[in-house]
Amino acid sequence: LKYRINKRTDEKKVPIILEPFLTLCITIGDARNEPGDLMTYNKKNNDAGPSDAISTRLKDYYQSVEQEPIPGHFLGLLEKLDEAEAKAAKKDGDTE
Amino acid sequence: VTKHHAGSEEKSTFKREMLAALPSLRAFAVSLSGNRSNADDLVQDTILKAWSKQDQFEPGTNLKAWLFTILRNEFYSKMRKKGREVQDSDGLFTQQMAQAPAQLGALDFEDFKVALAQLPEDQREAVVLVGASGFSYEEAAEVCGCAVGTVKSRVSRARSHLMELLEVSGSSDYGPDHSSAPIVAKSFHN
Repeated sequence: LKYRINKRTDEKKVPIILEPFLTLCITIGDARNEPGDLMTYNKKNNDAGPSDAISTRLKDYYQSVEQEPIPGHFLGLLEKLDEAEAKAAKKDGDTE
Repeated sequence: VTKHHAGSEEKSTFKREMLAALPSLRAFAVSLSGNRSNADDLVQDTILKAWSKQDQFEPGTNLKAWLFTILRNEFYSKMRKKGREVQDSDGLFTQQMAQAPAQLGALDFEDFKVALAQLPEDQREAVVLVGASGFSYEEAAEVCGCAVGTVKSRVSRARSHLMELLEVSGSSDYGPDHSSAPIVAKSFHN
């Protein structure tokens, strides 16, 4: 940066008073060109910005359903399947 | 070579992991079908299928992804059987809008639910699997039976689609209202 300021000031013979202003301009310009956060934030899986709001709302919606109690008949169903299988396994075990 | 004659310990692990996956599986079903009663049918069918096919499941691999795959296939085969019948979600919306004043928090989800229901199925499942169910792009691709790149592009299309829809629905002075929006969207799709 220093090198560039010097170069420019040398070339264009900018009055010394304008130098801070010029430094500021160059700094802003550099920040824009840097592939920093501003440029890369969108490439991640979890987006920032407006689509981050979408992600949050999607997660909230999903979680609200996840947090609902599991309907009792699912648990009953699993128990029944388990029992039926235990019986079948016993028979199997007898013959094997 | 170990034979897959699942021992009782393996079976109880299978059952325990299946139980643990149920809330997420059910949320996926609700997101896909937009309707709790259809979703619960889907989950029940998935439990039965998974149980009968549990010898095909390789212990140590991703049971959650396996269950989601079964549920997804069930969903599409039901859709195919139903033909081009409009989903029941419209009736449900009216019903839920009537309940809304009792549960104010639900209103916020209602907008989102309506928007989600308007997405094409492939985009909806992709964005839900990656954005809410906690799957990686690779796992989601496995569940959907498509390439990772396809999932990525569906997710990004779904996100921009949702952004558009939710911005518009923010000012509901014009355009279809909550209960008619999904029907209008459907008729454009068909």
